[in-house]
Amino acid sequence: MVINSIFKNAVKGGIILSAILLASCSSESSDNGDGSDSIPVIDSVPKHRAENAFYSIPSPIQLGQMLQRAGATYDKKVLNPSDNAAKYANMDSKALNLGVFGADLSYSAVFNQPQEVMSYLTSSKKLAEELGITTSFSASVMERMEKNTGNRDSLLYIISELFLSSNEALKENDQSHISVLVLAGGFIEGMYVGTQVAKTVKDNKAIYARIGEFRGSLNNLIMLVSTVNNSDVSEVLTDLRSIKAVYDESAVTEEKAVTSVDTTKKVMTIGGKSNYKLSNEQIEKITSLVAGIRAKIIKP
Amino acid sequence: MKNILRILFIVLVYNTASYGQCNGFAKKSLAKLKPYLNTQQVFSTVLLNGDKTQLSSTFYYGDEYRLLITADDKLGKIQLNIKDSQGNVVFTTKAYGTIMWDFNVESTQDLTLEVVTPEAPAGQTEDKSGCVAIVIGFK
Repeated sequence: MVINSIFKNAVKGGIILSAILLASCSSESSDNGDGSDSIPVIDSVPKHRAENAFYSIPSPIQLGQMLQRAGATYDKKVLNPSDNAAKYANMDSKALNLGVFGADLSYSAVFNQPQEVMSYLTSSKKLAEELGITTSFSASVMERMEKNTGNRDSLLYIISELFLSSNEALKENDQSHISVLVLAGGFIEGMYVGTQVAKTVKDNKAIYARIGEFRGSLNNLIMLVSTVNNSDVSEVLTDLRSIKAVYDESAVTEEKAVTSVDTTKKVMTIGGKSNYKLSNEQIEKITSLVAGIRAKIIKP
Repeated sequence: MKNILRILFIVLVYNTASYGQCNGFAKKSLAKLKPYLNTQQVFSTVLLNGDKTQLSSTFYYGDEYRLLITADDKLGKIQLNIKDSQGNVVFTTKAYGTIMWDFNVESTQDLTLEVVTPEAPAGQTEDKSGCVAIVIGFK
């Protein structure tokens, strides 16, 4: 009994020790900068039970599809010009803009724009390689993309695989902070495209309703970015929190969810009602804030 | 003291190996997502008996989702709890190895997916550890 107890404590102690060592190897501090408890990194060995939490955000393809279903149109003018890829000098800027170009690539693929897809693919490849992601954008993947330029479903599938493997490669190379910046860049670009396109669409209520619903994902992104700490990540975190502050000016109302389940087909529907509606003033503030943050990110 | 340090060293090496192993574990499960697209994120970790891990995500009205959780069989029958933003459990299920459910939401909701491993059975002299991966697909 005593030996068992010692072993159990040793196992848990070992996990804590290895988590500390892994964290120190990655040169990432777990200090959130606000004095609060640290949040664990993705794919980490658990430090202890209570801290083993992950945060998911929608992919740029998901954001693009949601905007399309809400009535958004394709507007090339709002995207970051692909030739800007050559102008980003530091690693954090390259990471954020890999996310931006990934979002522009996804938006172009969702709206069946093959020329722009290949253009943004080339820009993404350039930045990915400069970030040390060498295997994801291989010649065979580029060839598959070219062969499938007319097949939207295949393109979306390949792009999903491409960015998932890039994200994983960064984490495996102990570059979780770069991976988080790529995700943040992609989400901010998705919000930027949504808020800009909404201004040009006559019936934009559904698009703004979607932007209101991005609130939960923004909160999860903030939690995710909080897992790393360097000067540029801190700036992104501050920017994201400034958007959150506008969302927080209104409350979300949610009713208790009720689930209906088909156990044979293993399919379920989670019911319940929620209201993420934003006021016109909030929409204007968010549009302006996101535009300013995105302008800062894409500035060479 | 020397023995404890030795145990810690062994566990440290074991856990570092598990870290890489779990990444591969998560990637293997991706094929089961088809025809859903992955969200470009996978989540994997090492859990002991009696541990839990959780994933927070917003699920959007109009999207269809596939939730895939895979775990080492040696962890036993893992349990999935889906909780709403108030912490109410809206769905729960248990299985060995893989939990896969397709679902949608009637309105956009912030949900937490909680995966719990069972306590070590009586008579088991040590906690087992194993990989757990959570992957979400959408279409």
